[in-house]
Amino acid sequence: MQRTIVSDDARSLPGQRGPRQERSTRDVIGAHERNGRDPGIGLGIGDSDDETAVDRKVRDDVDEAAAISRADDTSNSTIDAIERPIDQPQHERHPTLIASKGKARTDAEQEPDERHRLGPNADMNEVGAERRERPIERCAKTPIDHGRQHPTRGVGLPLGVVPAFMVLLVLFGGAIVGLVFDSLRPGRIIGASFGTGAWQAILRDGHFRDAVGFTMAIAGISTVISVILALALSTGLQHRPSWIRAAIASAVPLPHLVAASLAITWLAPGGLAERIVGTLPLTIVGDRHGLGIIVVYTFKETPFLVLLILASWDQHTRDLQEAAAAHGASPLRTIRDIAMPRVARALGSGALVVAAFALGATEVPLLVGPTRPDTIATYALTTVRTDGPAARANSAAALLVVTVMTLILGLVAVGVQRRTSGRT
Amino acid sequence: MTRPIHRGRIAPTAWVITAGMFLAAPLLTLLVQAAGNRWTGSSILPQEFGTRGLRRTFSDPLIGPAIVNSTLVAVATVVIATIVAWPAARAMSHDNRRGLQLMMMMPILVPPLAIGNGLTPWLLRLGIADSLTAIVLSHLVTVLPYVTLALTGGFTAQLLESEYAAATLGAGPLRRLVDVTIPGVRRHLGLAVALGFTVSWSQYGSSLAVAGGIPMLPVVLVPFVRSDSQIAAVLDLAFLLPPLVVMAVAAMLRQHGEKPAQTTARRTERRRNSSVTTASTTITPTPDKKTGLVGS
Repeated sequence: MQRTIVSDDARSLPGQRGPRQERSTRDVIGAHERNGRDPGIGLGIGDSDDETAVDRKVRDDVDEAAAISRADDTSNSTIDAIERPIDQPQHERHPTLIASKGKARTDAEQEPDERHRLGPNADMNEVGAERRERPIERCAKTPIDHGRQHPTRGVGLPLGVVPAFMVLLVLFGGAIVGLVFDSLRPGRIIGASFGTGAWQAILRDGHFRDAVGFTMAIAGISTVISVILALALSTGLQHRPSWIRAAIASAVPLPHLVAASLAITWLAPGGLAERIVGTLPLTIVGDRHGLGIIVVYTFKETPFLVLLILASWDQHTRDLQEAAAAHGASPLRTIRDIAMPRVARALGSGALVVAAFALGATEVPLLVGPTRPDTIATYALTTVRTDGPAARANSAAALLVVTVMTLILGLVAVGVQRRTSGRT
Repeated sequence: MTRPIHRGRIAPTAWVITAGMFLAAPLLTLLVQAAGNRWTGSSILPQEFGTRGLRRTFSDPLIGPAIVNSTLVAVATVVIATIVAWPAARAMSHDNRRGLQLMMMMPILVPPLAIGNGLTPWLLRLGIADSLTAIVLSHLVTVLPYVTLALTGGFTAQLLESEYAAATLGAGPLRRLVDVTIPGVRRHLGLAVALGFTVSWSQYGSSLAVAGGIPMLPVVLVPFVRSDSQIAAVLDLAFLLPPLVVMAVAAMLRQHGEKPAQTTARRTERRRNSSVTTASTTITPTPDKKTGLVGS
């Protein structure tokens, strides 16, 4: 009995549904999906987001049931009315509604309509039975203004988002379209026609292939090192004074350009580091393997990841770790089995954002990177400088490549966040 | 057997050095470098301190206009971004659709140089390339998502209830905005403005792509990093000023926002301590008259 199910779910607290109710709620949602409504998010048992989705769905069902009862609100009285046996007369089931809504009619008033529909010899007990057993699928066809009752669940854009969305559509979309057009018109300025010449040129260009490999290596290595350092720092920072955290976090708003400038002051040949400790065993600034770029990115991105991890590593996690330690778990195990799953979501998506940034940044490789190989961004910049306006299409094609790479990483970050949201 | 975790593993001095590396070292390095008139050989400190760096920096014909241009562009970008982001943040604060949030946040990931290069053909057609307007438009792509993101947290359900209550009591839209909404989102608004200003202020790639001929602070700074370290240090300090103000404002706002909560927590803690009767070891807390909190 779907209606009884709805009322049970409405009465129970979130997270207290029994297995039967879980199954029944799934049935209700399945019915909604068959009717072309939105399927909601995942439905795994024990999954917090999914339970929220189920709770939302249950609230929707209550609203729909209320609409079937010609009710316009979802007040407790409405829910109480739905919870009562459906075969009670409506004036008993929902006296306040009948009193307040002039349009609502009692069963006694409705019966002549039913009798008229079914004929004079129809058994009204059967009518009641039909009404009792009316499946939720049929009920769901009742037109309900979901957009009004649940403004956040509509299909279209919320009105307030439209101006920002339009600005980004025009500027961001325009930039992507501009890059595509630029890349397909080699030497547009000197009057060439459309073609894939620029794409063929950069794919044949060994410098570009080196730039792609170099950029990916730099982004990957600096992200991995930043993640490892951030985890180590966050672990150590758990019981440290807040000023140490604040000091480490102070590097977050430091512009990359300033960080690169500092790297030159300290780490370039004849820099402060060499003046203090003597000759450095490695060439860092301008190193052909990109060591200087990796050092700057690591210095800049580690505090950012530390902030993300510390935001997820809350008091509850620390309490669980203490409890596990009290039961004999080693510190390493408490981190691996308790803290890591809880910070994985923030760390994973943060790391991908860091990698996306490292893929596309221009100023750091320009200042502390080698002359060859380039990163993709510096390749795009230098190719126009060296080959003139005719190479603008090559530059646009190279920038499109790095744009697609960053967007893919962004999508992966969102996927990671979704997958881990239920586990944390 | 209880084993304390994560305590005393790394000596406090190591933490002080780590903290200093991130906070003190950059600032001290830049200050010493900016003030070092003569710094030769293998000396750790400059042989002569003075104001040559400041004088040479501000006598350069490009640097004054670059600072003014960067300030104007950052202010204009933040004002436009805040106006556009305000309704979006309000709508998104109660919208759980991640697809929408993802769409709004995507421009953050894309390299600014790509955005600038992609916008250039359109700006050329419109005849506004190489202008401050072009730079504002290109910065807006990156700044708008940050401002929206920062503002979204401000529009809580509690704030909307307060607005509704004010409307019920007869307050008009302007009065609600001034007396309820802006005070309610003040903390997030401050953060959004500071963040947006910093992001725009630091944009190198997009500024270079759409208006390479107009002096902007990051564009002017890059050549000095290799050629004159003293001027570069002065410019770095000028470049750092807004982020430092950001941190100060954020810290002030956070402190301001946390005071009532901390006071309540302290009061609750006192009540809890006073209500514990050691003889019977039972806790009989009394609820706070104002907050209704019970120290359990």
